Amino acid sequence: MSSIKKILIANRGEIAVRVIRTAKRLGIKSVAVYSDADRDSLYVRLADEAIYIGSSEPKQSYLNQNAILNAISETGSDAVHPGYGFLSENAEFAEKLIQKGIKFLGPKPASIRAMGDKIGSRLLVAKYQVPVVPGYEGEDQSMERFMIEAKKIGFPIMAKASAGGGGKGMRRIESIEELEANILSAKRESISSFGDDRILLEKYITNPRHVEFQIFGDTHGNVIHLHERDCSLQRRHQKVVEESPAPNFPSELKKKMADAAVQAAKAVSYEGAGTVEFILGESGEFYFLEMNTRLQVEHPVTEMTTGLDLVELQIRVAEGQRVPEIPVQHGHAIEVRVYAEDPSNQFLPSIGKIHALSFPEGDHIRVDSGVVSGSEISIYYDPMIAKIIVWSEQRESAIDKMIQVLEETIVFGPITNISFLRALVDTEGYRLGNVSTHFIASHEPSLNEKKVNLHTRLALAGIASSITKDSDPWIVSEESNQ
Amino acid sequence: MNHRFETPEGAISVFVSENFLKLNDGRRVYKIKLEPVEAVIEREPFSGEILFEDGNRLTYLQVRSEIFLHFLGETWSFRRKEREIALAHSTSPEIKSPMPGKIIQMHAEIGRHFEAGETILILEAMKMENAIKAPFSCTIREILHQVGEIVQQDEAIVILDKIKA
Repeated sequence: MSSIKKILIANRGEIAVRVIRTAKRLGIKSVAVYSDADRDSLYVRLADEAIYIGSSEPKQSYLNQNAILNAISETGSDAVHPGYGFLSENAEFAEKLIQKGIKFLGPKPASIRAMGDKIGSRLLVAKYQVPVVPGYEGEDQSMERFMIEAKKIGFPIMAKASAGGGGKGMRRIESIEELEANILSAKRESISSFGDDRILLEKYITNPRHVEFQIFGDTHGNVIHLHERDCSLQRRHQKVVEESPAPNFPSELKKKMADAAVQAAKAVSYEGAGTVEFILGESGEFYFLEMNTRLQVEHPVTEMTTGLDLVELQIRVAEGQRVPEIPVQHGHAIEVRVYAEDPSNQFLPSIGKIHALSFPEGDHIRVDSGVVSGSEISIYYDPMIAKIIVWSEQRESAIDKMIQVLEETIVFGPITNISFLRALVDTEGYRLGNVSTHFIASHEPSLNEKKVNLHTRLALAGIASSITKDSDPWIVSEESNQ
Repeated sequence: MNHRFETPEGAISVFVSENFLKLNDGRRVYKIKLEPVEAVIEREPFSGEILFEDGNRLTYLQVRSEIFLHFLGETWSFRRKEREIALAHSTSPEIKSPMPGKIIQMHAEIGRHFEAGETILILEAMKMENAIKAPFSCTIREILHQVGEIVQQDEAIVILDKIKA
């Protein structure tokens, strides 16, 4: 296959910056596309060419396939990197590119479709001996049938409304004795909430962890894994801290999960970068959750521990090269997502201008960011300011390094989650690696405690104001008159 | 030097004399002693950085009437309390600019009625917002300057008609 000469990045922000960086290093031309809100964005300035594709609403620009296809022909791009989000898992878009002879830096459309169906994909990988969460979702809603199925699944069990959502009609059931009463109560709640009383059963996993494997496939049928990432620290299913290797992760368990991950990818003849996500229980039981058919936000922790550039690997695989041997996993990498959001106010996005921004620099500190001092955090897109990734030989020293980096990271403008992140990675539970997807929710109030009280804050504001010499003679005279 | 900031607990004045400070919330005065300042350092893209004798650093940035601060890994900001300028003893029909500045808000419209003490416009001067209030019950006769315009000291901005009680 021919080599790629010009990549159009059908995305924005930090991931566009990150792809452009690799393209430049490889001598490949880069094309940015932008909306009104991104006219002055960093990635637009870094790209070799930039094409305007529409107004700020994603539907009019980054999700507008025709506008992006026009930008591709206008610039003569021969490949598209979809980043994450937007059109990255859109099989129809990938198909249109292939029809035009443009390389899509992602898997085949059929693989995207197969994994995009969350129920269908579990049924599919189960045929390849990949474990899926045991459950019962049948038409037979008799109590006798629920009894039989519950014994098969094993307790504790979660009963959920089939039509459900938002925790309505959900019951955690500890034993067979509790089963009937709980199912009947879940059915009552379900019919009043959704007008449908069908119930499904699912194994309940106590203190679940989220462990995923980075997968790479080539066009010759080879699939390898690039080790795991633990992304258990989540808030409302949004990852907050990611790391590699996973803490407290025995090598026999890792081998079993890695084999299952490769098997899941092979089930859809996977090409390019993908991630197989698992839920991992306390006793080492693990189940397939889903496969994300794109480069993930948290891919840098894999890069820092394997020395590979995953965007380069995506390009090489698309050019027809073979995947390398499984790389050695070296040291420990942690990533945190710095967001413009207010942890003390339900994590509401905090939009506005970033007046000044500064990250510490040093060995094994990586900052992936799409903004600079003067950038605007708008209402239109994800309010992520940066991903901070650190690496060290050991997990403990990587945590210390992350704390230091977070303390020295300054964002003036929108409210951020920086001190929340700092408190989070400094908890004893996290240091011990006792993580689960419930960890943040159960520690939340203490993560928002402030070290500097209001009076000290005011005093420091006073001393800084005195030095800026923007003092106010009017107030001074008022005081002296009293 | 004296500063006045808006806080969730109301406006608080901060009187600074080297590293000794007094906070006044209108009810009580609190005395605070900070570490002595060892050095003030220039640091881009911020307004500057204060190095205290214990080694801690305070990074700060003044943006118009708001000051942003970073200390011990925490970030916060205060807005300076806008000054309220009521030309209480004035009987002049003109609202004159008490200082050179920029009009950033204009509530006056011709014919609009203002009670004494209601804000007619906000003038930004020396990075402070100054609310200019009606000196007496009045209606607006003429508006001589608009939002965004820069006015000199003693320049007339709005002309009023006094309403006789």
